[in-house]
Amino acid sequence: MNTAEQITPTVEPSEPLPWAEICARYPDQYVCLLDVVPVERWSPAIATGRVAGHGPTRLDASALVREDVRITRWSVVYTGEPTKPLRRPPVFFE
Amino acid sequence: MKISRPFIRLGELLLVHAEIRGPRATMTARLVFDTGAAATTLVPEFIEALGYSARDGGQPKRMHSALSEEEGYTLEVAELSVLGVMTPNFEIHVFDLDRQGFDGLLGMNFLRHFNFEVRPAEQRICVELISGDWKPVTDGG
Repeated sequence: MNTAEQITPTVEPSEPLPWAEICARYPDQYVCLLDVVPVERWSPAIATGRVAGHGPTRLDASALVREDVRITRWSVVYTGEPTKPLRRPPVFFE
Repeated sequence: MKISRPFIRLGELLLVHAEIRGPRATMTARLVFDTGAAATTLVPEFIEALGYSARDGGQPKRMHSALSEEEGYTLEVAELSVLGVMTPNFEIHVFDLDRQGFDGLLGMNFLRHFNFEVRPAEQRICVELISGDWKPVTDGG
């Protein structure tokens, strides 16, 4: 085992889970998903995914995955119902 | 050429699938199809996970609204694929949208390059390229 392998944290994602099961296990938080299968090609709706992290913020959920250089593709999704209204950045910059 | 892609609803918002490539990772995103937004926008946490930081963007800029003044910045992501087309080096705004459920807004600096048609009954958006350096994609966006 080389040095890089020794310091790389090991991400142990779950088995593929249906989206409803992910929401039930990790309610109202962010989940970091690998191997996402959409309900339809190019759809943002998730059929299944492997949970590799979870937490109250996007960065908490993906903390381990971001440390693992072997993983280069993932999604972070919120499992609850958003409660705040949409806001847009103001268009005027200086 | 016309391209059709599915969307899902989040309340009254329409969310589309996108893939965005950065120096660290390629991440899938849920973007609001937002004709009311001038700029395509991503939240800072998403940008950080892609491998960018505020230092990769321009100088921090103050954004003024009638009610507030907040800081944000712009940067070019390596590649954006959404609604079936891919473009390299696309400029996005980085701004804290302070809301769960999506990663950013697909704004008019992207959408103005297309004729588009929202078909709510079918939950699909059809786009037709009218300008710009865009390539259809068969995977991802």
